[in-house]
Amino acid sequence: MSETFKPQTFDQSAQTKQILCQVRNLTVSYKTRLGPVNAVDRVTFDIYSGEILGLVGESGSGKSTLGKALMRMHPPPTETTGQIIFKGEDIMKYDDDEMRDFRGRKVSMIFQDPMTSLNPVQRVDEHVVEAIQVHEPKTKTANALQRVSSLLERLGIAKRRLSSYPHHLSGGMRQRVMTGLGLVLNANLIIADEATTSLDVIVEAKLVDLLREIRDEFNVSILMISHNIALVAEIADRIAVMYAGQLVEIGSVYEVFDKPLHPYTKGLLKSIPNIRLDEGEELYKMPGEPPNLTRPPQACRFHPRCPERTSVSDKYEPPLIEASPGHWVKCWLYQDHPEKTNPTIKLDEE
Amino acid sequence: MERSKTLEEKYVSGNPDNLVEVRDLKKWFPVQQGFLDQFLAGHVDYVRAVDGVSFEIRRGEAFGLAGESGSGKTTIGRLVIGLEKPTEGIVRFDGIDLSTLEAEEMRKLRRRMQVIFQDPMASLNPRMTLGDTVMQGLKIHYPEKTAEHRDTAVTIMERVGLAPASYFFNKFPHQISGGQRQRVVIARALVTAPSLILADEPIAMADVSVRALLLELMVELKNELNLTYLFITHDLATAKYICDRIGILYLGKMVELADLKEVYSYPLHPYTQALLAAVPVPDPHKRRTVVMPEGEIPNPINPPSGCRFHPRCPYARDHCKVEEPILRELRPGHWVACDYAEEFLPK
Repeated sequence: MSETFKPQTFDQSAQTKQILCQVRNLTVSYKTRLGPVNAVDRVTFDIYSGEILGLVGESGSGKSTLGKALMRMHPPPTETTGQIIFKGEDIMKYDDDEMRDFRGRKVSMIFQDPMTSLNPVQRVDEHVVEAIQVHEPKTKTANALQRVSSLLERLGIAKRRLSSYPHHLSGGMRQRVMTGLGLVLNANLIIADEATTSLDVIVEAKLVDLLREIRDEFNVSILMISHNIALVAEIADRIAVMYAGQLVEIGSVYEVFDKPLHPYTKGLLKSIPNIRLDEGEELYKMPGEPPNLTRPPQACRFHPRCPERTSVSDKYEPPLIEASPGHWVKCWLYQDHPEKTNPTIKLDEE
Repeated sequence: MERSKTLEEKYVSGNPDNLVEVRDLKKWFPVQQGFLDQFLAGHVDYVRAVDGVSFEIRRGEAFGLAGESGSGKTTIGRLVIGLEKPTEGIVRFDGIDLSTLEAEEMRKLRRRMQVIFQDPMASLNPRMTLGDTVMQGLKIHYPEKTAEHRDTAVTIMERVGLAPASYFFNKFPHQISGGQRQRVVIARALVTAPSLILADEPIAMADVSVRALLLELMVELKNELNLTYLFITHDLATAKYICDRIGILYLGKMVELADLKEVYSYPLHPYTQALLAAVPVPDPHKRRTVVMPEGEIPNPINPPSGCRFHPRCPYARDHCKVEEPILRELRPGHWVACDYAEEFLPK
């Protein structure tokens, strides 16, 4: 229940890591003919400086909607509520001008399909120069070009390619241009929304290597939104799992893969095809299908499919709690539920 | 260099164990260009989508074809079921050379080969009920048995998990979930009791939690109905759960062909090695350390000389730029098109 949630410092280890962005109770509500649909429902998490956070979920889980909401890219009548504190400022209070400056300069986005997100009649260098000059109108074109060519060279695009049009480039190359557009204004956070999904597996692997290098070199944070959990295991530091619009588990990628807590995460991890012959001989078959969000299940949204559901899973919604340091889960298995007669005694720690 | 027997030499005539035999198959698509360009160039350019591929599919097996986009895997699938006419080469289905068939004979043979496509929403008619969709094949192939159509359709729908069929029969595609839609497509393919199912990326669109169930269903149906699958995929991790044998394609050429377990344990072609290494493993403790090959899949209009993989191959030598390697059997049942593959044999 939302009232049981107390805003607090989100992660015990937060003292050591610097928080870049705090998301609190973020809700995105689409207006549909069947009434409002909360595609993202009271989601709370932090993004640290210089981390790669993988956001996974199935189609319809709200992961892309969440990514866009972080840049406030949902125009009315879609309603976005909650708080997004970015470097100490609440961007939900920004006006249009501040927002325009925020997008691109603080947060930038790499989309899934680079062919539809690049302008077909603009050359590669024009794209990047335009991005610079929109945000820094005083920059001379020559200076901008200088910056562009050294950056793109770093991303593996040769100088002679700068005057190419998008259709001259291969899919991987286009995605590198998109990445360059995201980096050129020194954004603090790059949101990669299924950025590698349309690429072939070898090209995808190379882009993943590139993203990791970029993080190390520029110390940007990357929010990697993907349905491909194996890919997130490959690159992310932390992983957040969404189900039916809600965040159900978040923690270090090692912890979540070694010891998943939420029954949905457990099932999900066991159902990923594994190419290694000695592993994952049998895939776990999760019963049912993801729910329709026009009428989500009551209380815990996973309870109709859950093999470990408790007696109260269909009555009360569990809050997201920190089950072990830095590892948060939204499930009654790890906390006292309202009907429990003898609550666990908590020891006061020194 | 001593060469072992090529695939062509080994199977000169049809083998009754094989449901499908493909010999030296080529499909070149002419590139659309203006009259003047063509006149000035003096020739027509071709996209060599499939450029000399041979393999056979044994009865009752699931044969996988894997490769990146542009490798020709989908075109081969369409050639095998006669949706495209080959530029050169032979496709034999159950011993019959497809190129010798008249349109009417081909249509009759089609009931024995059905297709499951990738996107169930795009391959279902949005204005047809699910029942009509499933019965469509029966109407076309068995018009004389109208009375039995409904029963046959209901049986097969319930078998693929659309139960009770009466609930689904009069629904439209948009009223059911993605996983159920893919089951309708499977039911539609099975209703004419085919021998061969061409499954072109059949579960690529399905979510992870639904995928395992669909895979299991396909394996069960194969064993129960004695089906043969031609399974086309770019996802090598999924192929592991369904395919018995697998062929790896690169730029319209078969580069490796063997039992799936053999290929995954001992990949002998440098391309296969890279492809397998690139697939992410769902375990953060086992992150990839191998460096990926340079560049991307080249233009199939003007493929590289010699071995088509040589510009990206970390082991390429001068020989590879000139001599085109022939697919040869290096271990029993394990075919590879690399002249230096001996170096990768397990010691």
